[in-house]
Amino acid sequence: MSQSIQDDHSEKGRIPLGFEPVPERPVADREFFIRQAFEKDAVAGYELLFRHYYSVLCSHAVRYVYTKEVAEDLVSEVFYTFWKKGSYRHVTISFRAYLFEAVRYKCYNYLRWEFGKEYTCELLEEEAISRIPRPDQLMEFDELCLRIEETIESLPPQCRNVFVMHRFEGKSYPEIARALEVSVKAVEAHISKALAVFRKVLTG
Amino acid sequence: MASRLSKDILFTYFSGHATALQKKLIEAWLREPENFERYYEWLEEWEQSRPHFLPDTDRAWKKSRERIDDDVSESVERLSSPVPALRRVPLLRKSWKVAVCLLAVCLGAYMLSDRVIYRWYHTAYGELRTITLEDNSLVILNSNSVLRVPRWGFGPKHRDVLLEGEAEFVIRKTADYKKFTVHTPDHNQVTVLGTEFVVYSRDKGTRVVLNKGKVRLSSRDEARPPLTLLPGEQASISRNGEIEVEKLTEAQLDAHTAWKEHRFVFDRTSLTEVGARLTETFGVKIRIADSLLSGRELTGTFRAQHLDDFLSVLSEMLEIEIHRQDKIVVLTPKRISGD
Repeated sequence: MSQSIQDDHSEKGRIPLGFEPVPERPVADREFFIRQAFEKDAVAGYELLFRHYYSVLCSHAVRYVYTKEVAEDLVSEVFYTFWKKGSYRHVTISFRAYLFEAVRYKCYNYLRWEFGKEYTCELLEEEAISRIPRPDQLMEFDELCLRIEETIESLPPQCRNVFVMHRFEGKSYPEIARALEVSVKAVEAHISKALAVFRKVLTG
Repeated sequence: MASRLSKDILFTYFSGHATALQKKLIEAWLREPENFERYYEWLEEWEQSRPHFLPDTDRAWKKSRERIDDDVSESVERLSSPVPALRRVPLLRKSWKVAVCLLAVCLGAYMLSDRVIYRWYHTAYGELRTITLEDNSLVILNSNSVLRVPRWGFGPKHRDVLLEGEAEFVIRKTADYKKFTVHTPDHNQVTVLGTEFVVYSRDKGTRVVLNKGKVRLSSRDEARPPLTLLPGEQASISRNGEIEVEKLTEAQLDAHTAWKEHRFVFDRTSLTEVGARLTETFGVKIRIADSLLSGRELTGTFRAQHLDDFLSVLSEMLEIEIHRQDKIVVLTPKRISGD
């Protein structure tokens, strides 16, 4: 966690060049072998795909949901749906784009479910993924991700610490209380405060 | 021109440090459909270089693999079920309805076809039976036990059997590493590739003792992670699904396989416990006349194929009187003459 934040800051000082020639090459070439494997043996292709993208997708999902277990569950679910529906046969965009899109929608729906005031009609994942999204839709997800990180940064240090220990590291209240030498009640208070802030940010 | 947006600018944007103008630039860039793929390519690269955490991909893959394997065996079950109602299932929109219907159909099919699909091996009290399965694996079935084996061969992906009672398994590896799973009535599972182990599953709970190789135990409580057992270890699964593992000594290990040779091994075992063991093996009720007697302990190895053999040894060792009336055995302290 803290490592990646530091990385981000170190980048702040660099001035992006803006325009710069990019060598032209087919984007999906890395998936060539995966597609080939799918054609020969679906399970082998699925395994290749899973091993290639699982970890990076989990890392992306956790930016939204902030709980490792939930992130892993959501990503596994996306893979499973992909397999179950035989999506490898009819996905027209790259597997990478499909999986990232699906994970983002899953995370978004999860957050709605967790923080939403009421359960509104959830975004239909399949429908959304089958076509190329509009730029503002893509960027909305990026914004959401940054908003979550900002919200966590904005919490008072102790509150942030407790929240991250509980959500991200999956520690129980008593464990956190012992580690930080505070009462369990105080831990509870920090968590409910953090959740209240989140609810406001995400539903407001 | 906008299609030549640099990777740097996107990375800056992903990190949340892009200016409003840069964001506009990116938006324009994204409007070109071919950049959509590049966007995700770079997002992946950016994410790859700043991982938030490193999940255990191997473990996740195994879980996912099992899930799709289970689907395969489920569809095989569905094919074999004689109820055509399944055809209508896709029409039901709500997934819970589908789940309920599937469950009902499977349950019905299961109850109807249990005898047809499985071949049942029974052992009577005091009987031992050695069964060779189609894959040349051996099962030695202890007394008063039932083993169910698919009548028309194992499936393409799994080898599954059901056990009630106690049995030792000597499992042969297959060329394609087909998993062998023992299911017990309390819905716990023992899964192996090729190994030797004893499964005990009776009223008292489920117990697994491993002699050789590696087995994995899944409690019926799905929230609990499966557990891998090492040779010489015993795992007990209690009624509430808790798994406890202990390392057994040489003598304890012997006690768990002794029944194969009609031997009974006891190590400071109370007479009550001995009685329970006799009930399981010979199907008799043991009554112990007084509490002083029931607390007495027994140590040693006994060889007995019939109950009477055992009782006569017991009588001599503990100096007790034994009265047997068909299925009821009463143990009383021996009256010392002259007292």
